[in-house]
Amino acid sequence: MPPVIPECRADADPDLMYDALDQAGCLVVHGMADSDTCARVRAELADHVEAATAAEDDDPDDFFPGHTHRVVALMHRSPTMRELMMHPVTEQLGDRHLLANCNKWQLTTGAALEVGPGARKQILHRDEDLFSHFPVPRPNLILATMWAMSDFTVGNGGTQLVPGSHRWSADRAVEPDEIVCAEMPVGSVLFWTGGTLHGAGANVTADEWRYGVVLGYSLGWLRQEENQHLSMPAVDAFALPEAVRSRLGFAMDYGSGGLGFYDRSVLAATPNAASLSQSPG
Amino acid sequence: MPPLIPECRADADPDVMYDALDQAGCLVVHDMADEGACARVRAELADYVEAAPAAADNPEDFYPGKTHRVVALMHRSPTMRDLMMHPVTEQLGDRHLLANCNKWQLNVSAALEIGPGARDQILHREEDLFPYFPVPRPNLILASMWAISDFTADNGGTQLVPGSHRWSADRVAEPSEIVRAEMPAGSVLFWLGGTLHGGGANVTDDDWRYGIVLTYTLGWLRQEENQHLSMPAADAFALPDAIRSRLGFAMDYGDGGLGFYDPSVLSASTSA
Repeated sequence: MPPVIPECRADADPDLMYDALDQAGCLVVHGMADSDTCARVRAELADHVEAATAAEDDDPDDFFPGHTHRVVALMHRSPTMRELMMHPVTEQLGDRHLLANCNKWQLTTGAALEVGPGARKQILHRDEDLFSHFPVPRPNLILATMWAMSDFTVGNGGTQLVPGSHRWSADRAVEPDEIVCAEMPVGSVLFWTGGTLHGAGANVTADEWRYGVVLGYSLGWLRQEENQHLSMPAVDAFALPEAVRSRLGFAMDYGSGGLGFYDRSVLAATPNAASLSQSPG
Repeated sequence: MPPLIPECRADADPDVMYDALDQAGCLVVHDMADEGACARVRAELADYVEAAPAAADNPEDFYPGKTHRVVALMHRSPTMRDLMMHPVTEQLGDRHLLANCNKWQLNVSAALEIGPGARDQILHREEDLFPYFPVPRPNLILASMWAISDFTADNGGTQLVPGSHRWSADRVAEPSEIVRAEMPAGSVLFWLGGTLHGGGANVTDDDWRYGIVLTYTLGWLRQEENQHLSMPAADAFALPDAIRSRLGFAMDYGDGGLGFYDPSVLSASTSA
């Protein structure tokens, strides 16, 4: 029997949702964003996606396949994604997956990934491979999400997943029949844990672009994969609500000893950051 | 026999230095900075130190009172920025940290001027920032204290418990196991992230002990002091690559591009 990705609706019980996610290492949640919201994200990022080069020639040795538009710095570029970044379902699942290992968790990376016709499948990997200090299977370090901004299908590059692989030892190889594809309609979100093997699927359609936005979250005492401080001007970060700024890595309390502290007067003294001194917190 | 802090000169063999540091958990290295460099550091930070309040003591506080504390030193003191990458620190940092990371980084910077009447700080481990790891922890941090003034047993010389980096979490230091780092201006005390230590009491009448602490950590950990918010981005990008990278602004703190960013974001803003 082929493995299955559990599915539920966004109004399901968070404990049940997390049990399913924890057991399979992946979970599709439907009804996370409506079509207007998805359209706003597309509009906010349209110029960047258009400007992103989709390498015509694929280099099979590259981690990132060709024929794919890739845009980062989403928390600066898309106010709508910034709101979705703290969706209540993500907050519930993040608390359950990460808080046992930290005081506070954070966004670790964000990217819009539009997989075009002809793109090969990505090599299967674990997001927690970023932290190779920890042996596999690793402690819970990361929770990942993929927001479907278009429908995800087997043919157009739907994410490939290996349910259960978050509990495997490092040397266990994947059999072809252990890989499943996340098929989901626009507005759904695929969650997976940092230890789950996955990769973008191949796009074998003639003219269909698969549009997904990946947001990853990690323990607050780890370095963020995408440097959020260099992905947004500081003045803009300090104009955000405190809860958002804190989730982005700009707070002072990611550990009991003031992990992440800074002297506010440094940036407040710079001429272009006058708004800093007026911001609360 | 009371424990000893090993000592050497800055031109000693780095392998021998690190062996001593690794075994005792601490090491004093003499002649790291000359008088001129120490005087420049004092001058660069003088306004900030003067403006820093030396509060009345609250015994519950982690930081004792009667102490001037100034941070953001990589922005405020060009001389400390040079000393931050002193060749001895580079050698010891590579030996202590590279087994657990691809690249290490500055973790925190602070000038600490301990005034008459300041109490002993509670003994602690720098690696307590990362309680996820059980004690004794893997090598996560290397710490250094630059003596900008002479350090004596009376004026606040750092308390240390040699050997405590290998202790279990429940072992408490006996008074006889605590030593105070005495060293002349220009020397540097190195200690490991697992070594128990604390600021010393200052029982003098009028002798302010001036030290600068710089600690370093594995590149895949969060920095204790957020270096990105401790310096305007435009200034950071004007620094040489090697310094900016040590400060946490590079894109390669792990295999998969840990720490990446799109350079066009800040270059498009007026600030950079």
